[in-house]
Amino acid sequence: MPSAIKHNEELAPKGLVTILVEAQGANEAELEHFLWKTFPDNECFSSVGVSVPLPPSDGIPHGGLIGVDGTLLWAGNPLSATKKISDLIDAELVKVKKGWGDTAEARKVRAALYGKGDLEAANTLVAAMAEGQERTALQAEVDARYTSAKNAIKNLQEQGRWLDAQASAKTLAKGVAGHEAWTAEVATILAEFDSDAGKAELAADKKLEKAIKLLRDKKLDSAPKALAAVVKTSANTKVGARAAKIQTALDTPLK
Amino acid sequence: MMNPRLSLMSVLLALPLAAQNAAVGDKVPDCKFPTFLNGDGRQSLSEFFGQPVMIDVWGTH
Repeated sequence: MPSAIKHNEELAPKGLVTILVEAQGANEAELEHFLWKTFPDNECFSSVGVSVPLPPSDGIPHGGLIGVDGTLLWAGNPLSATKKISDLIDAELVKVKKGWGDTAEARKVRAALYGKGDLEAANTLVAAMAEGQERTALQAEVDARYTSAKNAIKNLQEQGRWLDAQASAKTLAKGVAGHEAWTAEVATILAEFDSDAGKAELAADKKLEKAIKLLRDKKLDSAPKALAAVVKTSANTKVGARAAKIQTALDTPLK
Repeated sequence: MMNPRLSLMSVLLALPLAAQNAAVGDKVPDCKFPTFLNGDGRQSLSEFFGQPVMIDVWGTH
């Protein structure tokens, strides 16, 4: 686990996604408790109670590396193949940057879409392609990426992570600049952050971020007080609910 | 007597690995993550395609 966290720290900025899946029956609050107490700097996506579609294993840790096109590249005990995994990730990160596919056009589209996050450029490149299967498939990828990015912002808002949601919305706005319909949709999303309710959420999230920083700095004596203050002053907000959830997690050690 | 958590772990490691597991070289079937700590709002595995994804299955005990 620490090796996965370290790997993620190094490579997440270049595009690696690391998903930690707890498989010994912890519930969400217990997992959160464990991570805050043990790995407060962990930035990996962490989940419980999910069946991941990897090859069978009779022990942990085990894992798998999925390539940019959704192909399983490696599976096994991650501690037994660190060099191989590292080399495979490096090769995939090159694909993120340069694109991949059988044709130069496909590579250009994917480099714009995944490497630069420029959805409009990718969309324009697809529109210039000749009709056919490849164009249809690439258009579906562009559209799916846009829909996913929009939904992710909504999910972050629901989870009480309004600062992250706002940052994602601003990034998406840059990525769709020049596309009239998408720009209008993203403008509507961005306007939510300027509403009274949105401003209240953002203000609460700034306070919560300070409390979370205390947790990350292992100041476990002062963090609960800071969390309690957010819960008290931010009732009826999504951020307040998130703060309360973290409070609960801190009081929920592993059984 | 076997630790109940270890017993549960055996079940968890065995049951999910039935019908829709990928082998190396296969396209990985989608799955939805019910919750993510530290996520970025994406909730399905397929939403991450376009980036390399390392899945690490581990235990808290």
